[in-house]
Amino acid sequence: MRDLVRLAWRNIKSRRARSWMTVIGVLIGVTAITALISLGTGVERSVLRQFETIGYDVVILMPGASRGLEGGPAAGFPAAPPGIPGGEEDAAAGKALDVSALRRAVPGIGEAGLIANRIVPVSAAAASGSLRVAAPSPEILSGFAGLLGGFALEEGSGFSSTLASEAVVGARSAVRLGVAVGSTVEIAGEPFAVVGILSPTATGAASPDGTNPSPSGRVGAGRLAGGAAGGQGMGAFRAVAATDDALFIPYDRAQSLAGQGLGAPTVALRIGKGYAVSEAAASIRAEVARQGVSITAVSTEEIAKTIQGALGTIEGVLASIAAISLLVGAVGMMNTMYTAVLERRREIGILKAIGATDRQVLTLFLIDSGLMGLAGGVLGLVLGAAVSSVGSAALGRALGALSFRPVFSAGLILGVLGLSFILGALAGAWPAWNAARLEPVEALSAD
Amino acid sequence: MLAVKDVRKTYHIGKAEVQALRGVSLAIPSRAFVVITGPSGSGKSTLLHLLGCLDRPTSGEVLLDERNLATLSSEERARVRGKRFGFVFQKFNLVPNLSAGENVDLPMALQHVPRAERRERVARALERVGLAERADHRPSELSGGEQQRVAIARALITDPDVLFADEPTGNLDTKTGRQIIDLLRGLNAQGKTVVVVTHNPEIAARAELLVHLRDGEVVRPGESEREEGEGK
Repeated sequence: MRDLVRLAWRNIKSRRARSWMTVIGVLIGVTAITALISLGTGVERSVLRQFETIGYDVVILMPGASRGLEGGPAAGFPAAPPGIPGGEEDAAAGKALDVSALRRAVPGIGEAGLIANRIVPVSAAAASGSLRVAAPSPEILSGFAGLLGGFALEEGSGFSSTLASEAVVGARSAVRLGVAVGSTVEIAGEPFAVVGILSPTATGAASPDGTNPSPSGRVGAGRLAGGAAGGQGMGAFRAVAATDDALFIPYDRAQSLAGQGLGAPTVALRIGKGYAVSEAAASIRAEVARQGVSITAVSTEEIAKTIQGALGTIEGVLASIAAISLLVGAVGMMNTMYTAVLERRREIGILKAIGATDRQVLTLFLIDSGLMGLAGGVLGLVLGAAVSSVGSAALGRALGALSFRPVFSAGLILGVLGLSFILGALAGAWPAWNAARLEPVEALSAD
Repeated sequence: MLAVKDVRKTYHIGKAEVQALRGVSLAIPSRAFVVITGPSGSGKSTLLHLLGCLDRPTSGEVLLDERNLATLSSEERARVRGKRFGFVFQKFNLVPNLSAGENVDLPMALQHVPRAERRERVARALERVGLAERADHRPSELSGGEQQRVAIARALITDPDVLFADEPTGNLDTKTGRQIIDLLRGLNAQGKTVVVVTHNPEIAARAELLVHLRDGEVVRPGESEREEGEGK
């Protein structure tokens, strides 16, 4: 076997230019597949990581009638101008959810937290604009901090009481508003003392915008509200998770804000151990419908699954396109191997004359093409890694808050290498089989 | 003992049918120096190919120790070629990408002979043909005579019973050709059966058994003394 590999290697080297072109054909396909899959996996992991910090045992009840998980406008779409409340939301607010009835109807509901949020006018000494202001209840901060990206304080402290006129400011908002602990901000026209500044979240810190506040100091409401738009599914989820661009005030204090406070709250419920989250979510939906409240209930599990499904589909389509280029590379290799077999008929004859079996000749050519496939695989993997590293930086910038790193799993690496070797060998299989079947004298008579 | 019984070989070239051998029967005694001769197109190379298991007859038997080689599987025929036969060709037929030593080594590599043993045998075989110093040279770096000697070393490396040579001096000058003939004769003296196809009267003159073919048939097999001068 070692001798066959050596002979195959010599043969590859002897037709250097053609071998390289063949390898490049495979390389392109492998590069595309590696880059797309590692990027896709990276995006998926980074999204799912956010869910993991919250936990998959959480059901979120959002104000507004069910429009399905993907009902909200796409991320990045400008939200309705501040001050103009969404129609459905307010109509629904007419009737509040009876949480104790819900607890009675659905077994397994553990702790519950409330958080209201809305984009309202905010002004500070350095800048003013419309910002998302969120009002979490103490239970949210103690039990569902993951919903707020951890809610870790960089400096200062948390709220002293649920009615205090105190604000905790997200990292990016603090930079843009030019506030520090001890400053005063005006939220919807009322003064609040800044008691704490949040640490930048992992996703926010990696975003290039975070370190480069806009010169005007004004915060674009559209961008801030981007992920938050719609109030449903992933949109709502990102709204509460995007803490860097928000301000926080105590839940009870928010109720007395001018106008209608911050509107109807989103309710987060944790389902106790031993209860199936999907069943609990279904029971909650049934109870919500029975109460006739306009509320959408989704579990983090469902949101994660939907996102995973959507990402999987995109990834699948992209990988299929990349696979086509790999296939083209394989056809190129088949051409090379076919020509090589024609050119080397005489050598095949020699090998057979000195005792090589059909199988040994077949193996020799399979190793030959397999090695070229493997070379394309290795080089493609390296190039693909480079492309996806550059690509993830560019894509992270394009996606704004969502930053991620490409993921090169062992499965991807071994899969790509195995696939390129097998594809190479398969491309060589037909010409090699033709070569192996020749009677020695037929092969020897070739010139 | 090697023999053919009423072998026929028909080639199809386009729609035309060419009968290369029309019923040849022949016995080749062990340790004999056999020369097959005849004009171009008489079927002498075809006969050598059938004897050497390089091709299958259209009909008839090729017998090696009473076993019909013609009906063996491709795998078994490869084994017979590798272990019992050695080949020397007019065009040397060395693998161009391998050095002289590696070419000589190849038959043993195909038979999975242990590496250490192979190295020693390659060195000995190259020494036997006077090319010990040329082991690392590629065929393109060797003269015709040297290449043919490498080919002979390769043919002998598996210690075959029968050595087939198809026009071994055809591409060599007279002096080098004579060296090759001496080499083949010496091998025969050491107990190898040697079957040579040639136009070279010098080789024919030294045959123990001279087979003359014409139009795919044996003209008159006989002793070398009586055939002398006729073989061309």
